[in-house]
Amino acid sequence: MFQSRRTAVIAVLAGWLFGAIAPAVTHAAETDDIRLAGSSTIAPVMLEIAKLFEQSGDAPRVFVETGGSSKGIIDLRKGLANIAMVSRPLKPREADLRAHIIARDGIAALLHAENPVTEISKQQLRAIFTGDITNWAELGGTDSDIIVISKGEGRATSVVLNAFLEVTADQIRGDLVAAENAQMIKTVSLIPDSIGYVSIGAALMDMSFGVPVKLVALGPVAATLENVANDSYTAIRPLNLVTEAEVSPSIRDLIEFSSTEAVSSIIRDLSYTPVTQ
Amino acid sequence: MRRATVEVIPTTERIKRLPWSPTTISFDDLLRFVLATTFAAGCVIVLVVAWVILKGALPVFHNIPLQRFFSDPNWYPTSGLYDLKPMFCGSVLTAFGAVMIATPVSLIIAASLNFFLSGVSASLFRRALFVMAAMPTVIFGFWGLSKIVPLIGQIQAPGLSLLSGILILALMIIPTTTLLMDIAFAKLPKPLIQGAFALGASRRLTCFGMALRVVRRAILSAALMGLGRALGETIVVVMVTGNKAELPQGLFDPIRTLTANVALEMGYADPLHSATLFLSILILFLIATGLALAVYTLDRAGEVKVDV
Repeated sequence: MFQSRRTAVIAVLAGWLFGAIAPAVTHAAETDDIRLAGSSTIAPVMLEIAKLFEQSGDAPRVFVETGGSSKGIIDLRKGLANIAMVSRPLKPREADLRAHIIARDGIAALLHAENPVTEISKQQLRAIFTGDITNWAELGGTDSDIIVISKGEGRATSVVLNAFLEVTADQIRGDLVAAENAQMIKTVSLIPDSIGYVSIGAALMDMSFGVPVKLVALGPVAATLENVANDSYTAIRPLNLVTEAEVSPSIRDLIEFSSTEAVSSIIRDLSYTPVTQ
Repeated sequence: MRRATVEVIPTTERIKRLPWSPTTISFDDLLRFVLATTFAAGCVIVLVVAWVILKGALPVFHNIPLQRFFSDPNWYPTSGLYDLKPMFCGSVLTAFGAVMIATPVSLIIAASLNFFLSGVSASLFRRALFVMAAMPTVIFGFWGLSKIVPLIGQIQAPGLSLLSGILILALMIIPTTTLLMDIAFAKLPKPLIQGAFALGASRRLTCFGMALRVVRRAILSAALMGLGRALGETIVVVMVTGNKAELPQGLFDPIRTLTANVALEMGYADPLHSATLFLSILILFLIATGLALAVYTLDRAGEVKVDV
């Protein structure tokens, strides 16, 4: 295999060196840096907040990663993250962790802008998503099949929707499945007969860029930022920063900073509703 | 007359014969060191990947009988139903469909580049292929979602379907398979082609009668490389196939591939659910290894040697 003894010795040395360096590189992460992981809804907010936070004095560096709320919890438990970003209430099995709410976000049904249907009751929504209503004519729309777009059954948006509709994940009948908010909005904008569900903040953002979609409220109150802010909209979820019970001072600083007046304009700019003490 | 066998070696020579010595480090040694490091790193990484996948999939073998992955009625992993059949079929159907389209198209392009197009246009075409082959696949996905999907949607809603997946994956792998076939044609020994022409064969006969037969193994190996790329592709299929975890009844039905399944669900998977996803990664890993071995064997067997 090796042309000479010398090459063999070099290869062994190289392998040994690689074996020695690899663990050192992977353990280099253990510093004062603060690592956040989780919800793709919260990540843009925390990226902006982290920029402000890092400007103040000798603040540690902050890293933000996405992957979904539950991924954040998993990373937090594994010690890969100091803070999990979780865009849903904590589950019973996560009760040992501490949730710090920084903002609220509503969830609404999403239709193509050209769909004539403007109002859907909770019972009708449940019937659509469980496959009992399959044609828009039954809702006063055109005579065409409803194309239901769902998100992965464990995603925070799905969990909040299922809780609102009082159904379990395996009752949902999705024709298509979108991976995250942006894909949901894009897909609905391409298919006139589709219905999906999405974060109100994310949808308003895209609608301001002219994406042809519209929001339909879950419940009797219109899906607007004002109604999320004044508590009249009911399909609401918290945007949480989740930590272990015990945290270091720098992590506590970042969490407290994230719910101050200083950052509420950042949160409002991203179409979410800040929670300020 | 016998001579003494004792050999006196000067000290400088002794140092040179040591396996490692500061006086003898040459550029070649450095190069060899870098290459050996890369080689070692490659081996370690492949082994680590295999180990991580196996470790991740291990809980499956303790908890779920394997036949349940094909006998469960549905894929509702959070409710404990693990039917992987639709995803397996989705992966196989899209990848094979894409290869069925890409292979003949690539073959025609590669043959044209070598036998029918002039030097300038062929080299321009090759450059375009290189650019396409280097394009990030998300661009193909986004383009497909915006342009191809609505077209298919006009024939039959919703447009996100097995067919859109096949077409866009085919487009994605055509540059790769074409360039591989092009290399195979270009590697044909000159005397072989000159011989054919000298015997009075036309371009068409030289290309299809002779060259094609000689490079047939390389064409198959290029198609297998394309199959590997299509099977492993994730972001494109997540964007254009609709991701419905159900067996498709036709070309216009949405499907979900094994890779899309992992991308969609790994984020929120509990340990057992995540193990089932690792099992699907293990399946893909084994298929990819098999394909790589097949390509290697075909390339070895397909080497053309001509004695003139």
